[in-house]
Amino acid sequence: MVSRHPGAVLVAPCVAALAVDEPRPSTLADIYRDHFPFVWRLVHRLGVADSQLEDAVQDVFIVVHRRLPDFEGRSSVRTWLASIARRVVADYRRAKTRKPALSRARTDMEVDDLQTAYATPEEGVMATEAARILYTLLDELDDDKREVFILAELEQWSLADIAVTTGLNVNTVSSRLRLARENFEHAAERLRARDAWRLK
Amino acid sequence: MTTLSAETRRMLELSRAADVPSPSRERAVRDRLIAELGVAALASVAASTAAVATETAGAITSGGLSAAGSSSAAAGSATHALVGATTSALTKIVAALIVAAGIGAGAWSLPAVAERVEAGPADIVAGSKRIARRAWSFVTREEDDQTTFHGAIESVDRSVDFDERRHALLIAIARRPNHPVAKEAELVLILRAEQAFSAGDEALAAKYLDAHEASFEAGALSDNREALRVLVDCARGAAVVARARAERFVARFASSDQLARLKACPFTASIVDERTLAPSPEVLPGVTPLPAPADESKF
Repeated sequence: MVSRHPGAVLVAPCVAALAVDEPRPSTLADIYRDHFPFVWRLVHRLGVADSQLEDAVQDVFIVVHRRLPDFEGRSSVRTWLASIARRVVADYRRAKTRKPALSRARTDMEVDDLQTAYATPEEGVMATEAARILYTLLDELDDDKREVFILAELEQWSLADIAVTTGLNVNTVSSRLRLARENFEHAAERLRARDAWRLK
Repeated sequence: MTTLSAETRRMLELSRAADVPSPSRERAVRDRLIAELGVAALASVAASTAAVATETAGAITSGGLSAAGSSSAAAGSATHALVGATTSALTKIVAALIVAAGIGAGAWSLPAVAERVEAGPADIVAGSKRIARRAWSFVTREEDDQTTFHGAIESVDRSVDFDERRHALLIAIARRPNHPVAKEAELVLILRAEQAFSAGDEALAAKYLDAHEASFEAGALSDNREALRVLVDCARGAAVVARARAERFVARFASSDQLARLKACPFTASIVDERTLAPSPEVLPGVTPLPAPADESKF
């Protein structure tokens, strides 16, 4: 970083450590360290725009921090986090209907954004394209079906865990999942048909 | 239809691999959480650091830390544990700051900190080194033993230069033993402001300075904050505001080492020079300093 001002000093990015060394699931640090990727992708998949993702994930952990003393461990941490995440996402959805999200597309990209775990560039392209299609198809589902579909098909949760998170009974979850799969598959078929027509 | 087609399942499998946060975005959220939650978020880290300190450092009771965390109910029991620890104030402050400031980023070197505390009593030095190793392992997630300690240093990105400024801020707080150790969040905010200012983002720098003032109006780094405010105003071209602020700074922090920074601003350099050239009442008792020139009052 080149200093622009005469009085400026060079300060490297500050990466404060939240992690602690002992496995203590009752601390924010542990929860953040162990579950950040889960919260991130869940919030994203539930429909928060990429430009608001960091805000929403931050909000989830702020709620976690606030409510941690009340967490009794009767459900798993992930179930609890998912409950918080879906409420935060619901708030973002409501805000979005009142005021369209500001366009804050990320134009900057850091070096580690470019690092991938893919064996070949082709694999990376395929995975990225699959993710793009996934989000297109998820947008075809209504909110209730979307969250059940995500938890069941992408997170591989049991119906019982989904029922705990959503506050529904298992039969309702099962019914929603069936409808969600139908809708998702129909949307996928439409997309494939459209792409096939384009390629003709 | 209750199951998905093979083609759709394949797409879901592929998309799973792509849907992971990048390290930079993870860091962004973590830094924002630190800035947002400040003391409370860091308390758990500090408390576990203090527990290590209790094991290893000397038996110097740190009465100066009695106020730690009292201003923040959210810090709760973790901070209470910290207050109750009977160990060196300097040791704990250095250790907590190491964790809070995230030396794992490689911004400055651990040996440098250890060197700085060499001047202290032997038990403080030993405790600090041990805790520093522990703190380092938090960040690098390496095993905490003497062997891997050196390996951890090597594994950190060495392309980042030694950050003298960051080091100086750390030592500045560590030298104030009455400062509550939980307030290392203060350091994070000032560093962020410095970083934004260095990058030419005065608005963001001002935002972090406002955040610092809101939480730590009379904090250990309040002189750093006010000096940086002058420079931010200067960079914005707000000459009158910068001069007025510099006048207040000189009056409030007459002995601050930050005074010299104001010389970098063409609008305020003369104020600092006048101040440093003016006779001190302590040096010349009975001599009344000359009043400021009339045209200075408009600033």
